[in-house]
Amino acid sequence: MTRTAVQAASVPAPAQRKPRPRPPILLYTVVIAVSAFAVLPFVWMVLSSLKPLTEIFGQGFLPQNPSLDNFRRLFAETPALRALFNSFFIAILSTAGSLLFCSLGGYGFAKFNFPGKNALFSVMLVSMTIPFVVGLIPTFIMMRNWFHWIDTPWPLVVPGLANAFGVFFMRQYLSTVPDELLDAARIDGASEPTIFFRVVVPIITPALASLGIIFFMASWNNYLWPNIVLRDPNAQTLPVLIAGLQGSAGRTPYDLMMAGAVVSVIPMLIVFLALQRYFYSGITAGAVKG
Amino acid sequence: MSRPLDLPAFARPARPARRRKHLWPMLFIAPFFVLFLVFGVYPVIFSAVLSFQEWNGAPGQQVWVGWQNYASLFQDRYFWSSMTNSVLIFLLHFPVMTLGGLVLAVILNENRLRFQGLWRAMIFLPHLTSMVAAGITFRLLFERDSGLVNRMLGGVGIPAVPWLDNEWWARVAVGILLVWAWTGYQMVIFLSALQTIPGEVNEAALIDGAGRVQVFWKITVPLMRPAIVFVTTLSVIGTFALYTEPVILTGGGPIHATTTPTMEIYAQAFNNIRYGYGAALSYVYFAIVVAATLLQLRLTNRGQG
Amino acid sequence: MSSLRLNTARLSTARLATLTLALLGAAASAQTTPNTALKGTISVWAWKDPIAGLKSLDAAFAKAYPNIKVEYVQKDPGGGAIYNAYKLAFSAGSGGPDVALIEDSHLQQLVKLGTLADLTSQVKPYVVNLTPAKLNTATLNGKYYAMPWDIGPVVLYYRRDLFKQAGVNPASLRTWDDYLKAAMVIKAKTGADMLPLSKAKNDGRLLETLLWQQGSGYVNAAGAVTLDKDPRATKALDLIQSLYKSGASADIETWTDSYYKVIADGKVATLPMAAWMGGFLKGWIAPKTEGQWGVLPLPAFAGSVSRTSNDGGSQLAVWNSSKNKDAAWAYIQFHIAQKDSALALYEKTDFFPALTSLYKDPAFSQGDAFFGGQKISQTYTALAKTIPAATVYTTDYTDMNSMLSIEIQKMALGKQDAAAALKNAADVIRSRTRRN
Repeated sequence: MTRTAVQAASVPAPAQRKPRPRPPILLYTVVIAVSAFAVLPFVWMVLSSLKPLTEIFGQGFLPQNPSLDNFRRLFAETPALRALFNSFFIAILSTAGSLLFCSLGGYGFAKFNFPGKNALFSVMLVSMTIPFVVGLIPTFIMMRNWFHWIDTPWPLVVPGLANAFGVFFMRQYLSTVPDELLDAARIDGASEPTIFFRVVVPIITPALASLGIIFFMASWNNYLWPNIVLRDPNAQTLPVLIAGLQGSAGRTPYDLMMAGAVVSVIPMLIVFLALQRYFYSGITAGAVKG
Repeated sequence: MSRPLDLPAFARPARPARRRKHLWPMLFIAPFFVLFLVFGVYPVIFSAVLSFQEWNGAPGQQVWVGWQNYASLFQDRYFWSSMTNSVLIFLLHFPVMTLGGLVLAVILNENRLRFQGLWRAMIFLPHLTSMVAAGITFRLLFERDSGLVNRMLGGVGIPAVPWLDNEWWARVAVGILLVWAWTGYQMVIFLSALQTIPGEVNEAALIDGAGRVQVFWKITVPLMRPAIVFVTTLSVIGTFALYTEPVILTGGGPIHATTTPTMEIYAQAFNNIRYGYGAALSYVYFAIVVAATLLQLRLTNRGQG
Repeated sequence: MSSLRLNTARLSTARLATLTLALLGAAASAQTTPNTALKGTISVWAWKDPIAGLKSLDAAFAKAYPNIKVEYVQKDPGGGAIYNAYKLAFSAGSGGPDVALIEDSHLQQLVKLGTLADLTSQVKPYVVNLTPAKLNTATLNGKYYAMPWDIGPVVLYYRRDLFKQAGVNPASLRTWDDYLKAAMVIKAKTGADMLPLSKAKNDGRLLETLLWQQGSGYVNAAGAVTLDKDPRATKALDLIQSLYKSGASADIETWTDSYYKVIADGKVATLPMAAWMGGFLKGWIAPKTEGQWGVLPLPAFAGSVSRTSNDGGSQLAVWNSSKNKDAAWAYIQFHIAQKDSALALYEKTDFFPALTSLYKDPAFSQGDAFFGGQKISQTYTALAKTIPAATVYTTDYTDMNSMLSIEIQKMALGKQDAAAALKNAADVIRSRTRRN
């Protein structure tokens, strides 16, 4: 992990500057303390998931008899496997769809002129400032009364395809692509769709990776909206299912909830370790340009 | 560029070349814009209409009530206290988080520190976590009798803190969860902003005899103003929109102290089935968030010149 | 939120059904001539434990109504899933159930939406054997829309060992004043608290119980908010305030692990709760405390005779757009209104039936070892018949409960007195729910 992290980091290489004599004890103390603060809840989460319920509320730290029983029960007693599949299905579909729509839109705005372009772009920018909750009630009513999409993945996929931030992000990135590249392809007689898929998409792959990771993470961890539109346990995503366990009969099953928490964190962790660089660039690109 | 009374380009058959030219960009943005109109623009208008109605969601049972929803909400003590709660939670966590993010970014930018990538990854890790998973974990950590936090405090002789049973401690607990989740995010943003500042600027100042703390406040922070303004704006909006963290960690209590506007709107619309009232709340909430953001931008931009 | 959890938790009771098989046999044989006139398929929507209970009568029902086919659809009330499903089916205009199980707390809302069929003529014969507190919830404009299934008469569970150790005679707890005095003695002699009563996490349920015990509530029969005008509300909240100030109440949130722990460990001496709590204590909260518990009627308020209240329960209703309304009613009638099958259902589910005519059965007069051999069902039945009439649940129940809870919490933490708590709760309830 260390090696990957250091490689992926884009901080200036130490070799470029002159080395200093003293090891900075204070700096190490601070980063170690903060890292411990950041990681400790994960450790506690994993340790608790290996304990029976009574021990979770006990005074120990390490599990007395570590067991995967909570995980076994989670998958046996709740539709967690189904939820895991739903979470993946929704996250992958919405990410792929949004990337297509956003890159097409961003390309249209970045590389073409057409009537009403500036007005449309302004409307889109303004829409980014409207809080999600303002449209929440009507969107729910539309999903329920018009589309009949409650307890299906579609409310979590379709509205998100029109992501104004994504279009803006792709437009900014595409503005840096030289026009000559596109014109050369046009002179060669390539059609516009061919140009987009054969010329533009390969160039913007890093941007798609960064944006895609943001979309995937947002979908994977989403709670408010899926909690409204997914009521049937078999249609629910992992966070909705885990949070819903506390409303069920009897004792709050913290043992199962901790196992569920671990299950929900692992996929993000794998994606992060594999694609760390794109995480950072996705986040900072949005910030610095926005 | 723009010509008045111009029809959409693709509607005019007279100039095929131009038509072809405009057809493709229109087609490229069309998928986005159709959905944007249906799911982005329409609900916002629908919501405005709804805010003048009373409706339980049953078809045909909408009743026009004029400004009554707005009149009621001005007397709704819990809606306003949810606004105050957001402000308090913001004040409790934002300074710690932003200063922490800045200091960490500066530290990680130090060439004397080894394993920078490792530290950055560990501190960023919480940001990946679903707030449902984190909220449940923190609820156990803050548990009064068996929670790890109170046991650790007890280990150094500090009496148990009623984290989730006292309105101030509960707000602090939500704040700690937010600091945990977002400091790494801020650090990454500040770090990338910092790397655009040439190292010579700081070094020159250091040679001039300025202390490290002085350099931080007098040089680093001013140079990073755009990034700071960005995260501040994000935090203001984000704290008002807070939902999952308090719902899972505190349930909005005790005595309503951690209930946020989004939670109030959710409860009115989806627990009590008052769609009209919920819509009115969401519009007033929107207006307040816009006002708060403008005020914050004014404050953060002051003294820039 | 807390009310929902409570209601769903109630239904998870593990029942030691000893007589089930015998009664099942009786139910099947009691049916004389099968009714073949009613035909069709009916869909019954309910949650896990009730479905298990209802299904146990499938064979008997098939014998009595051979041409009615029954399908079960399981939806959880936790998180409101089943109620969302009802509202969804209603606004979609199709795909609803024929028979719907609904908790009292949500019934008024569904009645008012127009989702349920008018059952006035069908329910009428049973009205004399039903408590008004229960019926009110199913009534709109003088018409009945549901048949009550189970009921939660509130009693006082107490620890025999702690009372004995403190030298307090349980029978002496006739009024709430007696209860307060006993609380001080028990606290002093045993160190145990009289009851769990959370301050910052108070869920308002005890105050509701005390309001309903006196025939009062959030609103009166006309729907006007009475919290700040009714002296009975003041009495109820003053009592809670006294309990806080006595120092003999445990500041513990209900339905949490600490709550189960203090109960199981004998750290609290009493629980003023509905009859379903007995099953919980025995089944999963404190199964190891056999013989230590007893049941008393609730202490009375000065100047009042009422020794009980109602908390929770559910009812069965016929869906308004059902195409098999008669078959749906036949199903309801068979399961919860017909003696033999209703008794078999009680044995299977432990849901205490609302229909008082059933109480004559010997099943209700047996001793229970968990309660030191006490015939607790007799206490329940005697009290169930005397539950005061009150407007218990309204369309706005959930919201009212959460607003009142917040004001009680503020009072408990010393931020306001009881009068201010009632005034503030009443004000905000009026403005939000557009009531007088």
